[in-house]
Amino acid sequence: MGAETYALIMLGTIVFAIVIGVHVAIALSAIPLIFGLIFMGERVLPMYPVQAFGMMSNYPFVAAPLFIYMGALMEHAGVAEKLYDAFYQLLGPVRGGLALATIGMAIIFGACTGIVGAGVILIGLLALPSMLSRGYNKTLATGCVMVGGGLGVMIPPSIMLILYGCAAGVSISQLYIASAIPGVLLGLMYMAYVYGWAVVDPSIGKPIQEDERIRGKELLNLVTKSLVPPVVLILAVMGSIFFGLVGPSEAGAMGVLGSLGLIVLAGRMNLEVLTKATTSTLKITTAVLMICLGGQLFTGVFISMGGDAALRKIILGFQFGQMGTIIIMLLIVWLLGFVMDWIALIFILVPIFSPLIATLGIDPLYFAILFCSTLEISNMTPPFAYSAFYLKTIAPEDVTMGVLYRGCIPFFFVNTAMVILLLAFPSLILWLPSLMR
Amino acid sequence: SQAISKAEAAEETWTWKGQAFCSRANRLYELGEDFGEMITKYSNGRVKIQFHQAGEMVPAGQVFDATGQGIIDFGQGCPCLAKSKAYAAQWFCDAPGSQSPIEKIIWYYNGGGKEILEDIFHKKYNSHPLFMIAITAEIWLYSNKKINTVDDLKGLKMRAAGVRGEVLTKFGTSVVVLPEGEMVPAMERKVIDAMEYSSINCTYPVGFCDVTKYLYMHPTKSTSPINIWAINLDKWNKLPADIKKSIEKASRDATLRSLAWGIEQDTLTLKKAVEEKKSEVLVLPSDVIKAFDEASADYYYEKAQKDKDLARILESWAKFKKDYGKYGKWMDYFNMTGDHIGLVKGDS
Amino acid sequence: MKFLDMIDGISIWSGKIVRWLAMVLSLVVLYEIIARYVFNAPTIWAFDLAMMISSTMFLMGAAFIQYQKGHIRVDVIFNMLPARVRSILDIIFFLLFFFPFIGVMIWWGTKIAYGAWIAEEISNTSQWGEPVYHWRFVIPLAFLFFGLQGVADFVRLIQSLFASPDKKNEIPVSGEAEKVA
Ligand code: NA
Ligand code: NA
Repeated sequence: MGAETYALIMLGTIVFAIVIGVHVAIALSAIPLIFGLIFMGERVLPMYPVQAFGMMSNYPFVAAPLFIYMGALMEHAGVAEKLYDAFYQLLGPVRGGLALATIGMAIIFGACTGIVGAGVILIGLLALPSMLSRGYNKTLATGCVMVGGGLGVMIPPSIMLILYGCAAGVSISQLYIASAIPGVLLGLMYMAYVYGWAVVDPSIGKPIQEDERIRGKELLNLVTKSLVPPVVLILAVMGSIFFGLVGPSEAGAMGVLGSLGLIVLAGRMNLEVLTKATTSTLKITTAVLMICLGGQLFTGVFISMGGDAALRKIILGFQFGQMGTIIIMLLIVWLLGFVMDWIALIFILVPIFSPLIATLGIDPLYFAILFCSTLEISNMTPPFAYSAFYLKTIAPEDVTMGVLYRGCIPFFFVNTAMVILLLAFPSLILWLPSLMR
Repeated sequence: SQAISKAEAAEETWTWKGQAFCSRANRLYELGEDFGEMITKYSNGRVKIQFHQAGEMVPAGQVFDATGQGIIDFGQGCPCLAKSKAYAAQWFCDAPGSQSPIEKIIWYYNGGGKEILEDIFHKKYNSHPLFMIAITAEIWLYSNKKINTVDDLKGLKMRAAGVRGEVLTKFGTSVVVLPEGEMVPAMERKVIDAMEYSSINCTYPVGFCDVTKYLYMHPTKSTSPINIWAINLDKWNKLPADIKKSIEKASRDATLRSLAWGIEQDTLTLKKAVEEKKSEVLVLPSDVIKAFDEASADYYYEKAQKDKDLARILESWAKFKKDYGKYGKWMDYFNMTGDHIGLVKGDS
Repeated sequence: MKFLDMIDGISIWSGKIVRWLAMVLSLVVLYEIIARYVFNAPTIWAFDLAMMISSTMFLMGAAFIQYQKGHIRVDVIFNMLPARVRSILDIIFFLLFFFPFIGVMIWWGTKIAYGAWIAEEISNTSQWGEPVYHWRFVIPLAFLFFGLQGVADFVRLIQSLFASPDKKNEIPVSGEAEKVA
């Protein structure tokens, strides 16, 4: 067997190690070190710090801490609360209205933040108690909180798109623009599904009481007030990217500035809030980027051993054609998404897929959004489902992991339908970026 | 038994794994692949090449360092990437006002350039450089503003890098460093007024002429980068003399071939730019040229006071000019195309 | 143990300091935006400085996150195992994966940073042309801190394995990953 066969064995070993619980960053870094020493010799040793330095001097990575910081600050800006209040009044009177309100506010909040955890927890704290106390179906209630939080990484800005851009060398700005329509569409599809369910079975969620409602001027006032901060922020971040004024990392800094401004306006600015936000920024940034570093180290060894060429040969050997190969690649993402961490998946799969995409003449931007849409599903597929883990940390005792997993299932079909829709209509992805060119 | 070991030595083969500083989509990568095939062919199949794109084994900016460390056997890149440990290496790459591409080749092989570059790379990067691509002269400036006088450079918002960027700041140009992918949108949204990047056959496909009105040429001394393969010095030194010789020959042939190919492609592309994209081709006004070349020279000699290698390069350039300058113009005259590509009846 | 507490202290304090780099990073990038759009005078240093700050932040944060048990692991299957098996597995993971990797990063990271120092390496990407060899030393330093915290956690794992059941609760057990991102 040649080194390339062992490279494939190494890939399998890493997946196995991650699944049984080796820290993701360590598995990605240390297992290639062992294989590299055996099949590449000592040259793998200096490769490690050289790869690390390469990542340190790769500018797109700067976007990650900035958007994470923006998201961490946003938790304290009170945007989510106001948005939920407004949507509560707007959609509450409809059947299944609070579930619709949850997703509706998640769409807008998703355009203000780009990390999964913060979204799920924040939306969960706001929406879950009000739904459960009104006797909403538990799986529905938890399901919309989880997918609502997940919208944070489908709708730009998004840490997922940043990391994909870093791994694939695709412009993060372009990824943001390209994901805007699919992201919002996914949110609307969630809403359509929930409303459909509520029409068929009204018992899943009752409208809010008449005496809770506000109307007319008061309602208009509430809606306007709740929408101003996110709209300003979306314009500052996405607007400046769309009009080509700033690059993605600079947009992240604009977002930080905007979030700080909103915290001040909300009258919540103090050292404790700042310390909390910076601490969680450090935690998330380090945890995420250490995995990215592991991904770079893995890639260097895997390719040096010839693993990429071997895998390409296997996939191209099937001769499925362009569409067939795309589907095979997405199936791999989807399957591994059940048991793996999505950040690791980006850094393991993108270097393998990128040359295939080039060989087959697939638009890298188009594939990027397909990849990320499929990867988003991994957040809610058991057993390893980030969204469920986050929600579990704040959910009441009787909301078991089983309930959460069940809550994911229907939305899982919506997400899959979304990917099929994108496969059938590439212009959903490519139309908006074409305006920018 | 001596006969056997000799036969064994004759059979010895080497497989080199290396990487480019650019991606597969880049034309320079393709030229690197060509060079790899030439090495294998010229060495009668004894040196085999496994070539990878940027970032696959080591980060793009670290190819020379990684070669010296022995992580990869060879790395392809512009000498300006070597500026980290050898500041003067940039002057082999993109030094405005210095040498046209063909002059650079003549100087490299006959005026002492090769020895200097080898010295730098042996000392600072533990590797042996092989010149393998001479890139054609760059468009001096892709601009949406006219440059009539030196004053027009002042306040010009421009993307520029390397030595040229440094000289431009002396004219009050507001120099921005943007990566390749962000240049075209920035130009389109008027974030910048002008940019420099590469030869037109490389920039046209990524849309430079879609967003630019004027293509400014420097009639004699447009800057032209080169690419080299740096081979790990220990690996290089272990090669038998005949293999080394065949690789050096491949290097020289690849260089000349790349330049001829580039001029052909530039000509075809320029036609497209003017006819399809309505680009206006302009020559830089002579007082701007003079001021810029002088400022460049001042800057180089100023920098050379602190850098021995750069001083050596400038000295070698001066000697080359003295030795060959007066003959160069005859070759120029002899090879001049002017506007006479082809012949039609009635031409005199 | 005093020694282990000292390591914790180093990790905690390094985290308390480097977390503010997020703020510094934002300021540097914002300064560049203002310099470019308001004053039409972009800096030559913001680009590289931003990379230095953000990479220093995440590397130097590794020890703190190790202390906080915040490095991501897929622990669905792992958590189904009995506590003792988990401890033994963690000990194996430390010996087989963690320490060799950290060791390479410290030893070879130092070697390469030292070489860069001797060569007085400067940036090859920026107009600024600033020295970058100090930056290379962030790698061995960060992994030294990270490794030290690993040693502390490793020692505690061993202690917990041999401790009497009533004392077990006092020793923090690895595996309570905090989910992030
Ligand atoms: Na988002
Ligand atoms: Na999953």
